[in-house]
Amino acid sequence: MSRSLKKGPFIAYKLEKRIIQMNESNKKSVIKTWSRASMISPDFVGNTIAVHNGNKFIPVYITENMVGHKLGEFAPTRTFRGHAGNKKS
Amino acid sequence: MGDASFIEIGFIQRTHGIKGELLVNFTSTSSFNLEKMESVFVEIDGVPVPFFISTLKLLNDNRAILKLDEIDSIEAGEELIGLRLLVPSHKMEESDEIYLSDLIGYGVYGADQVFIGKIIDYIEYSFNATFEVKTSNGSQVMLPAVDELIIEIDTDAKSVVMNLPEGLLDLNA
Repeated sequence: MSRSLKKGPFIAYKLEKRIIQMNESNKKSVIKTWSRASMISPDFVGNTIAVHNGNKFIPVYITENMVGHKLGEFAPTRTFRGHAGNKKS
Repeated sequence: MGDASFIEIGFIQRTHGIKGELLVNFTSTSSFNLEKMESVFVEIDGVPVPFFISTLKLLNDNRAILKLDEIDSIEAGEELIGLRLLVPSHKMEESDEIYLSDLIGYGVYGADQVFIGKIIDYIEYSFNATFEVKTSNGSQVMLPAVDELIIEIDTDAKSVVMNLPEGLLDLNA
């Protein structure tokens, strides 16, 4: 079931607060976040957000194309290295 | 992620049909026109092996059905599953585009011309390409490989000048 439209998109409160602060001050620094479920709003564009993938932070520079997606989509948690059966000796 | 003289354009996902046709998945975000090419390289045991293209049917932007000369049976096709498809970089030099793979080995400098490190690899996440940079103190950092942060690329000096936001270099410290 999709999220109720009444609630609006989910954006972690602290993350949103820091983005707004950063945009107001015109300062560019990296924001670390563990909130992979936060949706990217137009305010995020032009900022660099370090999204945790469970192991390390992946820097994500936010562009207009990313608006509406979630932060976690740009920091994969798994690395596919091929199937064992396909490896040649 | 590769030899600088070759550019990885995708990989062979599976066979298609019984005559040795191959379903190819393109992973490269770089623009290339396989339809105009006569041959393509398949990396076998780390060595790029050339194959003439017999037929090519593009399914969409990311997938195509490729028939290579000398690959005429499903068994021969199965041998190639999972292998990377490469194209010589000079075949893609008609435009002034610089590919991420070309930048491996380049030095990265901050906006204040301070040396940060050397690009050792790149990772293409969806919509988010990153450089893996080995810094002078031996640690590895990831930097977003986006036009907005790159100020200048000097191919003669093999250097990339980037405008990095504060805190990016000690993300995973």
